[in-house]
Amino acid sequence: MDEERLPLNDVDEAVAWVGDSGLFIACGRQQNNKYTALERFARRHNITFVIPQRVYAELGGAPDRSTPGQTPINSAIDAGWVTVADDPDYTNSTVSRVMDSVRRYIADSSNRSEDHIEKADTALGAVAVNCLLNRDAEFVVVATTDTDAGEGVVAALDANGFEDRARFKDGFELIDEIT
Amino acid sequence: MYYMSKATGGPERAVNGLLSVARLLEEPRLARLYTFVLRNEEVTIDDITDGLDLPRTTAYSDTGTLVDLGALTRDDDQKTHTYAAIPITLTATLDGDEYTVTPTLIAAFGRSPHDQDLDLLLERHGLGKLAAALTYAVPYADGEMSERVAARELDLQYAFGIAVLQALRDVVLKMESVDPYFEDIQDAREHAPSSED
Repeated sequence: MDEERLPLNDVDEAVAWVGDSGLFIACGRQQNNKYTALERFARRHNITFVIPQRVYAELGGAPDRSTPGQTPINSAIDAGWVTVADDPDYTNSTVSRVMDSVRRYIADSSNRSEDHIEKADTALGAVAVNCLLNRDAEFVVVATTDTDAGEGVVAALDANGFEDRARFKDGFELIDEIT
Repeated sequence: MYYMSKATGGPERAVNGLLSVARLLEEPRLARLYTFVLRNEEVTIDDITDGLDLPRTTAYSDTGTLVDLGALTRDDDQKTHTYAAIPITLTATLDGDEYTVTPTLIAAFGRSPHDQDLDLLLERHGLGKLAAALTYAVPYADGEMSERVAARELDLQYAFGIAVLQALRDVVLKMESVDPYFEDIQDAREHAPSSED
């Protein structure tokens, strides 16, 4: 693995990693040894992937015979390298501003009107800003295969008082680098 | 492009072409073989048996079928016969709804027996859903379509929808340089679904 390409590898402060459904699905597609590689990566770098409750529900609700339906997310949680986030405080104005920004970003980049974007689509942003607000972490990395969502979270945090404290890590790239 | 009937073009050629495409979209093994030949240009039977891990008799009989359908050509001039694929495009219009089938859809269909997510999609929702999902995978592969927007508009469970997009992304990335009609595939980014969806 190319350590140089790991985002925020050189900072001393705590970095939170927020993981999206697509990252875990991409690990499981075709050969699921990539899942072991992700676990190894997490352990080596002392990372716990924080996942929104929505992501947990999505993976759990997938058809049994699909890749996400077979993703061993529960054993990852039991093993401690994945954890389900507490519900963010949606009444917090910073959280809701970030979510609105993410929503606008996704609408714009997917060429849809904002009412086609559901608030739940921005769960990644809510969890990311919560990690920073709670001072659990100084920086946050969003690992997703959804470019719109990943870039949207970074742009939303930049625009709402968390400049340069978030990075988007493309899930496909991450998997390529660690396998 | 189709020469099932040498003398005539026009209507006869168009309808025969329709039947050829329909056949390719019925048998994943034929679709996979067609895609293999298209991606590798001039291939021999040995290339096919090695590349697709097919028995020799199957390779002969399937290439024969595709030659008869006008989807492959066989060059008999050389000592070892070589096969080449004829790029196919077919536009279907039904009551104002339009879809253009290109080799990328044929490639996606051909991959389905080897991909549990595409296989499940076809089993549960049929070929039309695969074709629709491809129109989302095109912008998705460029990072211009959000996974959850696509899954919702395709009416698929979110995580399963993401898996399907990821499967088709691989197909798109492999085919965009090979499929001469790639640009003709509808792009879901350009068409928001109507409000009742």
